[in-house]
Amino acid sequence: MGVLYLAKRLGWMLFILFGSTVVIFLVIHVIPGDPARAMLGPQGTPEAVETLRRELGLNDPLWQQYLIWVGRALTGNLGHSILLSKSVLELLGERVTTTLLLSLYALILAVLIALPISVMSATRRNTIGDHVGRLVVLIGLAMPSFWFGLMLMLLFSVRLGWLPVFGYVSPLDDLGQHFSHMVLPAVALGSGYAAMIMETTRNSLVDVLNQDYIRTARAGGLAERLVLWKYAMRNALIPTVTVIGIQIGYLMSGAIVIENLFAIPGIGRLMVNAVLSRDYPVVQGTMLTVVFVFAFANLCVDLLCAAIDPRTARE
Amino acid sequence: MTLTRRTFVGAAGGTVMLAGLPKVRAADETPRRGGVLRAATSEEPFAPAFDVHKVDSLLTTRIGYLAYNGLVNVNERREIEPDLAESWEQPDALTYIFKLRKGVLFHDGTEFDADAVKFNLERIINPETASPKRADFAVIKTIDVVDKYTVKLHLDHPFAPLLGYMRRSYFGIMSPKAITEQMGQDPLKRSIGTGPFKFVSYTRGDKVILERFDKYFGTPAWLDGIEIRIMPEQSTQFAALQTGSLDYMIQTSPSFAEQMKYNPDLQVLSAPSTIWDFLAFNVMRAPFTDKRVRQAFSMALDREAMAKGVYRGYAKAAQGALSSGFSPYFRDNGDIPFQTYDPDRAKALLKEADFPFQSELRFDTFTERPWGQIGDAIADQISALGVKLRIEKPDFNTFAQYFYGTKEYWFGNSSMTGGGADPDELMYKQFVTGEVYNINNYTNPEVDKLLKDARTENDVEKRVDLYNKANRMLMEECCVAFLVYPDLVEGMRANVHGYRFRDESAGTFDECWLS
Repeated sequence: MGVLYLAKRLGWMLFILFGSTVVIFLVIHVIPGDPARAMLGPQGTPEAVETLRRELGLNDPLWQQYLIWVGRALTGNLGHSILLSKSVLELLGERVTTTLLLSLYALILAVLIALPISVMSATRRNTIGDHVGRLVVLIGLAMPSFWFGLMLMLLFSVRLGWLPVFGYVSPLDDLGQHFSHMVLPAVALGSGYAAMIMETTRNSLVDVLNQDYIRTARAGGLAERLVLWKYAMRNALIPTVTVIGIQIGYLMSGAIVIENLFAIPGIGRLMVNAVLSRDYPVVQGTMLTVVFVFAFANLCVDLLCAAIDPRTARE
Repeated sequence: MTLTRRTFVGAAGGTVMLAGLPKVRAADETPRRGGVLRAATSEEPFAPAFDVHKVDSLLTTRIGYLAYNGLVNVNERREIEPDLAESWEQPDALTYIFKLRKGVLFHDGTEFDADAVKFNLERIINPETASPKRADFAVIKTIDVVDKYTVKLHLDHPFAPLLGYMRRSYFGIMSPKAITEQMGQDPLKRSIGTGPFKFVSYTRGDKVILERFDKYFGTPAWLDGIEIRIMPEQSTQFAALQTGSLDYMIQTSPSFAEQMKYNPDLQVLSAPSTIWDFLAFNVMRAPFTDKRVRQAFSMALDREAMAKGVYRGYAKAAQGALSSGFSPYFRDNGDIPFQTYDPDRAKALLKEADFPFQSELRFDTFTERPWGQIGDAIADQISALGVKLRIEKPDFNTFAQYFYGTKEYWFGNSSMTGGGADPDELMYKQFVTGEVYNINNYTNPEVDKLLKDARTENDVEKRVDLYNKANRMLMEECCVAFLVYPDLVEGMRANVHGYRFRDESAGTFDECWLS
């Protein structure tokens, strides 16, 4: 993998980040609603709203507001929350680990569930196991995580009383409590994700197992285990890794729903609250963070794919 | 009062009514000290929480109630009783003299006295504070500290509702020392009151923690502390309530209240409120310039069905601006026909007014519950008259922008929430020409005069008359269709005792105890 390839991917990532700042900024400013009115409430007189808008710099031309924001963001300053009297970075700092941990657990869980089942499914095609596996995938894909989370909560917390209903405990405070609070949210978030990984891996593995070089390897008398894990998996995993990367976005958006449901103070909840109250700097900051995570994950995927199959870096 | 999500099930008021109480509580049970009440709310407190002079959101005020006192308080019958003022007198219409309680301490150890009252009033009145409550106190011309425990207020003009605004859930007296020293810092650091609980911490998006203030001047709280979790989903709150990891769901929505009734571990308390849900007509815009169209639309609405369907029975059909929850002021005005369901007469009125059935009419509502559902009901029932509607249903903030802000709408629904100590808080602001909540652009010199006279009249019976006269006119003129009075609904575990209702903006779980 050459330095040029890495530089190219990095360049793309920066371009995407820059483009997303324009989109993020326009979208939040174009939708109706006004942070000044949100703050003052219906009691706020038009004069008071106007004064506050001026104070917040909301009356400047949009392009000017955009340049100020981007200029500051480049120096690492994402501005101040209009409503929470804290800097956006501070707010993100308090929450971003929570969301990342939740997403990470969901990811690990999804991969741990998806890979073995998909291998089983692909190697024992059209058996009962394969059918059951694919049915599980269909159910997983069709089930909204919000609803699934609620069902998990009703079963494991309300009915059985095994796990807490809501909340978050930092792993630094109490590791056991941390995991017991994260199990249900991670399962709810990871289930749909697992289904996607499962479907992709199974299909690409089936495809690869039908190829000539696999037949050749088998004809050469190689052990089936070796054929599967050394020869087939390496090629079959590329779509899987790509899907895992692209769907990090799915995880982040899913986290918004799951955080609201389980009352976990992460950036998803911060974002929802900010959108509803039109707290522009916070919306921009959180969205930028999500885009960054997404772009970064894709960069990692590109590099990982290049490591798995060096041909991809040479195109 | 800022209208926010679920404001409708705000807080408290009226006669306490125990709906669907699973078991009769033993009357001789004595309160027990100890324990932390774990409550949940679905809204984030408004910034800068809990500087109660700067916010007017119902939820924030309710939490603030636990830590602050006013000069007076309001009981469940909406009568005024002493709080930090032991007594008061009014030698003439323009003068109030308050005798203050002695030996009251703020949470920071400083003593509460007449200077503190003066400081707090001046802070609200000062335009630089930008207090949303300023207009309600601006009538005070001078504040004299007569001695350490006596304050004398001189008013610019007679203003009968003033005492109501001095209540605990609205005034909220803060420590002058904390405000002076902590301005510009974390608002929680200046959130120092004299109340039975003091703030310990507030983690945004997570929880507010309060603990008992042992030097409280009244009966010290039974609870060791209160923990208020911010949980956006009421279904999660309900699940947590069932498992016992939560004791109390602040502002329970009626659909959950209904489910709670059948669980012996849970209880639902409810009381009538002074809140009204309304359908507002922009009287400056055709076709609503014609009174008959407004009357017809109002009579097309089945209020009983809304109370049963949307509020699951936790609401009453409204007849005017004064609900029966406002017991001292309520008079039955049911003889006025325009605020009751009569679809036939509605159709006849529209025909008489030569209503343009061909053209499409825009109707505004918003997604938040229950207003979105009330909006659906309105749209259905108005469509049944043969009116073509185009429905706009954004989130509340977008809606508020043109409904409360620029007033660029034809007709739309929302609710009106005061605190419920004085009808002035609700009626004056919504119906007097040019007032903050007069979203209807409504102008009626007679109504203006009645409501202004009621402000300067000190005799209660005469005020009742004035408000009811104005109310009857409003019901007749239909600048709004009054829909329902939602009850205050509070769901909690059966081991929570001592909850009592006061006015809507009071968070009255300070007297609770756990068994």
